[in-house]
Amino acid sequence: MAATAERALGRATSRSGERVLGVSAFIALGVSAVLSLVVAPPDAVQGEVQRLMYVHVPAAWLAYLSFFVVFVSSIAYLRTRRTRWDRLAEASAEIGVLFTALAIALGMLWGKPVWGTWWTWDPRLTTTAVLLLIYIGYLSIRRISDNPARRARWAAVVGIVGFIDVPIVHLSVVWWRSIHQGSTVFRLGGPDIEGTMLLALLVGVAAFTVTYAYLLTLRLRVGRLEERAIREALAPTVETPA
Amino acid sequence: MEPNMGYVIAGYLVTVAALGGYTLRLFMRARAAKRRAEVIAGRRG
Amino acid sequence: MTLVRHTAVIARKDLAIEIRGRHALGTLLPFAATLLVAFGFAFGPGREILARVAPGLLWMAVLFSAVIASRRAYQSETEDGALEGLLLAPIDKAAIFLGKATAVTAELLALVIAVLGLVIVLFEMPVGSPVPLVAAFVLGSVGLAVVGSLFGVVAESARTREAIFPMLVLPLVTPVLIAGVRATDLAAAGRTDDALAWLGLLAAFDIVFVSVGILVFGSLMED
Repeated sequence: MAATAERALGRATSRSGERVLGVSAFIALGVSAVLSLVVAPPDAVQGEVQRLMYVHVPAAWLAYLSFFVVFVSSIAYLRTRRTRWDRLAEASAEIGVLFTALAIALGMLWGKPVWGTWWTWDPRLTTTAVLLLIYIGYLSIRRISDNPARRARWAAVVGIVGFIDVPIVHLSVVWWRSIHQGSTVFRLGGPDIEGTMLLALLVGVAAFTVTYAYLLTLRLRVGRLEERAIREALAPTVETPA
Repeated sequence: MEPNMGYVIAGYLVTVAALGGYTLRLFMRARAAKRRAEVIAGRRG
Repeated sequence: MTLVRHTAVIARKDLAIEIRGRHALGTLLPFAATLLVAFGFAFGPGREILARVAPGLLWMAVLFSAVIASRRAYQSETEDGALEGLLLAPIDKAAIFLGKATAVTAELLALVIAVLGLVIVLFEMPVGSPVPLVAAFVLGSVGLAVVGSLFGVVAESARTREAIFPMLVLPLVTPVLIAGVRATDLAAAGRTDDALAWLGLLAAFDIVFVSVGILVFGSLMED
């Protein structure tokens, strides 16, 4: 069973697997865009602007998924000390920062026309902003040490502690904001979200997830290549006898 | 066209730019790393 | 329990260094005081505004002091290569973490006592319910000290850029900052019951981070 899984993972991360994922992601994103921009109806209250939900929500979802992967691989690394987990954590963190920043940007673009201002400390957006800071810290701590083992260990600790902190941050921000009941929270289309809207949202989430998988395999390959370049640079220049 | 459509277009463009830009950057990093490895290996000969 | 004993040893050692060198109160207190006066200039001179932001400013001062104190908790070790000695000692690594966290907490509490008086005078902060007020600072200081002592090891590495340590700690202690300020605000206004929820959050934060810290600290110290 484990052998089949390993083989499947090997195939997925091979060059052809990567290409398949890439094409799938492209197509899925295209389909999602059509559903979001054309097929889904405009919102009764917010109008066309609500279409930003179909990119903002998937981006946010992927941000949290990416950091969950960082969390799990960090634990796996500390327990097994196998570099593959560190490579996975680093790749997922980098992609996660991208999705997080994107989610925040889209949230602000959605918020400006709806709230009239770029930022109202909305609980979910605010927590996402703190998440961004935590994981920028994760990437920064990786720059400190030359020693790859130490770098991996330190990063793993941040990856674990950071993720555990997120629910606590979220709770504190939600309580904090509930003091002022003013601003609206992002509406996901109201109590009965229309059928096509839900479909567009789910397709968006699926498309982003496939994109994440593709970016992950691509980033892992880049990591391997960069590691190889470093290894070549460090290898002895004297020819070893055959 | 609804006045807020600009925000929607901006949002989708930002998404394309972010995802596409990052993918491109990864391809460029891959190429640079490959080239570096080949150059070094070539020098060692 | 040996862990408790070792923790006490480390804590006592660190505090002894602090008391003898008077580093903590010698630099932390002037720093915090200067910061608060600066805040006074920045936000004042309107008395309502100052009274309104007093809890926040107080916690900012404590937060920055916590960063300085945590960093210094590890500075003394690296300066004389004492860190290797600690690593070789036959004690549970977690004791180092807990011991330093305890020492830093004590320093912060000493600072808070001094600075609280300053804020009450400078910013005319009322003190409605003293008990939840004290509880907020105790629980909050523990939280800040724990996170600071967890990552303090990182701050003293050779290639560390200056801003990395605060960059790591500040986002992580967001709940402490939010809950601490809210609880202080409510306690100052005499609303004990409302403050309890925030105190609970602070306590939960402390428990979570002490537990997780004990589990992962060893990995930071290996070499």
